[in-house]
Amino acid sequence: MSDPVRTNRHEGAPKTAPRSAAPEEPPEEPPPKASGETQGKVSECLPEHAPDTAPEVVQMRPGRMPRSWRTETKPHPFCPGCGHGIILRALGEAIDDLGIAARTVYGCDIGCSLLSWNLFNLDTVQTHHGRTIPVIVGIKRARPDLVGIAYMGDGGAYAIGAQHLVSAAIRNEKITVIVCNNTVYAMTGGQLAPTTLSGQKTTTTPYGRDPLETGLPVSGPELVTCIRTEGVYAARGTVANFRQLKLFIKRALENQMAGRGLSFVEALSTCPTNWRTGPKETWRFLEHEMGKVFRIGEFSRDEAEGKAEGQERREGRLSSPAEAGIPRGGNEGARANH
Amino acid sequence: MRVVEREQRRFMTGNEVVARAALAAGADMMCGYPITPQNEIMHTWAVLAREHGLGFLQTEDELSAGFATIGAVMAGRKAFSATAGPGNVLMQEPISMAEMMRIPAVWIIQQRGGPSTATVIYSQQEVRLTCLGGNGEGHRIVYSTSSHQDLFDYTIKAFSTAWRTRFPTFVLGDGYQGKMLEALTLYNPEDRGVPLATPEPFVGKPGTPGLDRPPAHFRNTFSIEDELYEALTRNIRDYEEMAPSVVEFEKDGCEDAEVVLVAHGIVARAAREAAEVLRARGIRAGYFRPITLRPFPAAALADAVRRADRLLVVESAHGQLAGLVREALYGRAAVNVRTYLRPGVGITAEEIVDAVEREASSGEERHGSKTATG
Ligand SMILES: Cc1ncc(C[n+]2csc(CCOP(=O)(O)OP(=O)(O)O)c2C)c(N)n1
Ligand code: SF4
Repeated sequence: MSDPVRTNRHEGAPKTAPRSAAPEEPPEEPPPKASGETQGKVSECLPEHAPDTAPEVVQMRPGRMPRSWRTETKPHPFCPGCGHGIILRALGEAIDDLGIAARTVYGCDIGCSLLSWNLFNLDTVQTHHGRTIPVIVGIKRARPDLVGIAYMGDGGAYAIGAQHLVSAAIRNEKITVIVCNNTVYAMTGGQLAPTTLSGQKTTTTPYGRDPLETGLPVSGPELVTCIRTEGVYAARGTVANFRQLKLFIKRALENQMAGRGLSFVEALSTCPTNWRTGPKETWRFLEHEMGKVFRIGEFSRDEAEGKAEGQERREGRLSSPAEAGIPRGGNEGARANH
Repeated sequence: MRVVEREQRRFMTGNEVVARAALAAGADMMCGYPITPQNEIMHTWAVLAREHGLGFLQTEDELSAGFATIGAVMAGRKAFSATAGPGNVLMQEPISMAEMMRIPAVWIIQQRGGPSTATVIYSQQEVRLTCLGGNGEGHRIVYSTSSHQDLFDYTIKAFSTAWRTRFPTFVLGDGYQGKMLEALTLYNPEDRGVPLATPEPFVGKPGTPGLDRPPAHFRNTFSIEDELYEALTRNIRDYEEMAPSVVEFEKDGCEDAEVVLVAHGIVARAAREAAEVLRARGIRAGYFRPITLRPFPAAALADAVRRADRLLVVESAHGQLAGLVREALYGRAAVNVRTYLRPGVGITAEEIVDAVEREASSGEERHGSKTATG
């Protein structure tokens, strides 16, 4: 796989002025990419293990922002080299492809994800640390015709908000949860997260995470599928494989739109600011260290349509007659007029 | 939703009254987590929800209940939640988000003993938490009820107030009120011309965001102090502007009173009775009951105690109402503030009469301190 080499000088760029260190960077294009390379070459950075899918459906669109992104609020505020922008680009393109911008509600957590509160041309609610799942659950139960997305960090999803994730799986909430796994609490200064690797140094494990003291990294999709698989979509992608990540997110949205059950995607991501790594080391940590611990792939994919019907009917009780009349499922969302 | 064919007297528990009032107010979704003494609100709502095709979700905790309530409101529902004690503590987190983002919603609090798990029965110890909880400025509206009729009337009113002002609104009851059976009149608000709010969705409105309309972006995080200050200034102005239209109180016999009994909630019933007994025994007693604890009827209270020599704050807490009273009167009235405080336990009219008579005979402060005046 090609290594997107970039100069090292953005290392540890302060969050307060994340963009100032990289004025030459085309704002709409999320890292990582080779410095000075044309945007069109980004796809060359993709690792070999591309997904088994029709490529035209999941191609990254180089040089163009997703339509569901809001141009007025670009450049986005993530640090150079941050994976958040890549995940949210994959999400934006998936929303575009499905044509669901008109009926999507996006929720972001507190953590670096909060910076996306005005990133999209989508109705958006920024919630509290760990509480995005219940907010989206409330929205979705009130309006089953909407597509609800909870975007969270690993601290939000697996530590302070773990009970909400577990309960969303138990109740098989028809929402899509996307978790950015960057192995640290990024926004607060790089502390130990539930996903921190064994031996990894963070600001609260300055001598490396000792599993005897603080346990081993948690595995999100595995956790979800331990609770249930029926109706559940669960996958783990990585910002190192954009096309695959986008495919997973798309399937997660489709699973929700079909009314099957909880859709969950964890994305392995990067935080060069808190990792204190340059581009090469960032990439190596993501691909090799994280890749060794976290398995990439789909953990649960339930395509049984019949079951979804029954679930939809039960859910329909919660909606007003007008809302209940709104058809759902499959690619019906393509009606949205872009 | 019509709750009764036509106006009728009924005998039921306060918790059932609350659920029926929510239905009458047009509420269409409840999210909650079990805690005594509010459970029967959820029990009743679970049945009503099935009967009327409304939303109900028992969540994994009060954090989730509060945040899901907010989500439902944002999606256009008239949603509410109910809790008590430790649940009220957890509920403060979502409520602070509602406060910041001006999300209307109704919370029913049936107070129980505290701190901690304490008793599941009764107290008036959640006044401070309900009025001023969260890490903000306490921009909430709190109705303190003292009867089942109040529970019905003010639950209906709470929905209208919340959606009109867009401040989180509370009905503050207690375990006695929730669990007790009492007679009241049930009615359909529309039959009495009581205005009901029509909720609007905050998200998921028609049209494609960015094409047909701007996207709705709700946030509670600000990057710089001035941005926050601007948002708070707006909220403070709105709160102060709406306060006079929301403030409510009840008073009796204050015009010539030497002593004014100040109490809220169910204790106000004992205080009112005590004032009558004291009058019959030759002590000129008045009675003042704040119905809204937040915003507090400060000017009305100052006016009520203008001629009085002293007032006696009576509450089932150790000075939570007294604190609100002192703050309200500071610089407004020259009057002795005394207290009869029984944290976590009920108070009878006889006890209040005794307390006043003891004080009158000893002629000195027994239970409280003189307020600063000016
Ligand atoms: C109740 C509460 N506790 C703590 C915090 C402080 N806090 C803000 S973001 C954050 C951690 C974020 O880490 P993560 O969820 O992994 O997201 P990331 O920043 O890595 O994207 C914490 C602890 C908070 N905002 N609220
Ligand atoms: S996750 Fe790390 S790299 Fe990304 S914005 Fe936050 S601090 Fe910066």
